[in-house]
Amino acid sequence: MTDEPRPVDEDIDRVVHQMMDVDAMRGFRGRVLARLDDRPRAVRRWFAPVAAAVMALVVLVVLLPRHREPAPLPALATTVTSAEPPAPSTRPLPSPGAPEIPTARASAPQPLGRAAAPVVRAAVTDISERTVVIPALPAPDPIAVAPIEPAPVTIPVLETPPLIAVPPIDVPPLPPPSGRN
Amino acid sequence: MQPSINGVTSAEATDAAELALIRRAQGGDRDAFGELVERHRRAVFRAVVAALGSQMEADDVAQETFVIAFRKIGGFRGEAQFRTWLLTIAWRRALDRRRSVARWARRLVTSGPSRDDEQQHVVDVAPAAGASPEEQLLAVERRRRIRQLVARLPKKLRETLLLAGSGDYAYDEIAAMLHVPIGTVKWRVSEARRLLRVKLAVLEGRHD
Repeated sequence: MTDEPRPVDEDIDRVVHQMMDVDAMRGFRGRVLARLDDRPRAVRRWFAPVAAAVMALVVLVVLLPRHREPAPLPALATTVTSAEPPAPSTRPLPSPGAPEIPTARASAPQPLGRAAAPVVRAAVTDISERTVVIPALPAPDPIAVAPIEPAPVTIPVLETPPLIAVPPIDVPPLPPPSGRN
Repeated sequence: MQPSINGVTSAEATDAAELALIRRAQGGDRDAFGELVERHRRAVFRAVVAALGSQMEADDVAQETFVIAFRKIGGFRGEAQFRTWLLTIAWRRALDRRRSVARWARRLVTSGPSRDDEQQHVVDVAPAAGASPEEQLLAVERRRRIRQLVARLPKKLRETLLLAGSGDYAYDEIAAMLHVPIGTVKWRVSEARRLLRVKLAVLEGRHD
C-alpha cells in the first residue's frame, strides 16, 4: 500500500506532457514539398459561392416558366385588326358629349357565342403584350352639399288631467251596544 | 556583423543557419524550405494537436501550414522569430479547421477513433519501474481520469494547458500564438490545473 498519494500536480504534468508527446507521421517533409505545387486554397474557397450561385440560377430557371406570358394563339390572333387601339382594362364612365373610347368590349359587341369568344381572348392577349394607356378621367364636379337646417324641436306641453274627485265617505255611527258581553 | 533580413539582425530573429535557409527559401529554394520544415515540424504539429486533438487532422493542417508559409515566406520580414511566425499560421489554420463545417461532417461520417481513444496509447504508458502492482494500477487509473478531465476542460483552458505542458513553447510564444497577453496564458494554465485538482479530488473521494 502506498504511504501517500503522488502529488496531483505532478501527475497532471506527466499526463499533459504525454498527451503532447506526438509527432507527425513519417514522410511529412515529402508530403509538404509535394503539396507546394497545389493550387492555392483561396481558389477552392470560391467553390462555395460559385456553387451557391449555380443553385440560385437553377432555382430561377425552375421558377421562371410560371411567370412567362402565355403563348399567343396564332389561329385566333388573325381575327384581330392591328389598327385597333389597345383596350383599357376598365371602361371609363361616359360623360355626356364626350366621344366614346373604344374598348375590347366595344370592338366586340356581339353576344357571347362562337365568334365572340376568340376575339375577346385575342384582345386579352394583345393587352398583355402592349402598354395600355388609360386616358385620365374627367375631373369630377364639385360636390355641393346644402347646409343642414333641422326644424326646431317643439316639445308639446304635457297636460295632466285633474285627478278624480273622491267623494267623502260617510260612515254611519255604530249602533249602541245590545247588552251582550 | 550578423546576417540580417530586411535590416533585422539574427539576434532579433533567429540563428544564422536558419536565416540562410530562410533567404534561400525566399528565393524559391525548396530544399532549403524542406530543411525549415524538418526543423519546425514537431512544434507546428504539436500546436495543431493542442487545438484539434486529432493527430490525423493535425497532420493535414500542419502540412497546410507549411504550404501557406512557403507561399508567404517572401513577406516574412524577420520581425518575429520564424518559428513564432510559423506557429501563428498553424494556430490560425487549426482554428479554421476546428470551425469548419466540413470537419463536423467528416467526424459524423467517419467511425474513426474518438479524441480519447486516439490519445489512449499516448497516455497509458507503463508506470515507474519498481512500483507495486497496486501502485501501478492506481497510477494508471489516475492518469486515465486526468486525461478524461483534461479533455473536458473548457476549450481555452485545455489548449493553453496542453501547449504549456508540452514543454515545447515558452509562455511568450503561446501568447503570440493565441493573441493574448502572457498574464492570460499563465492564468489559464493555473486555472486549468485548479479545475483538474478539484475534479480529480471529487472523483477520488478526497477532500483536499
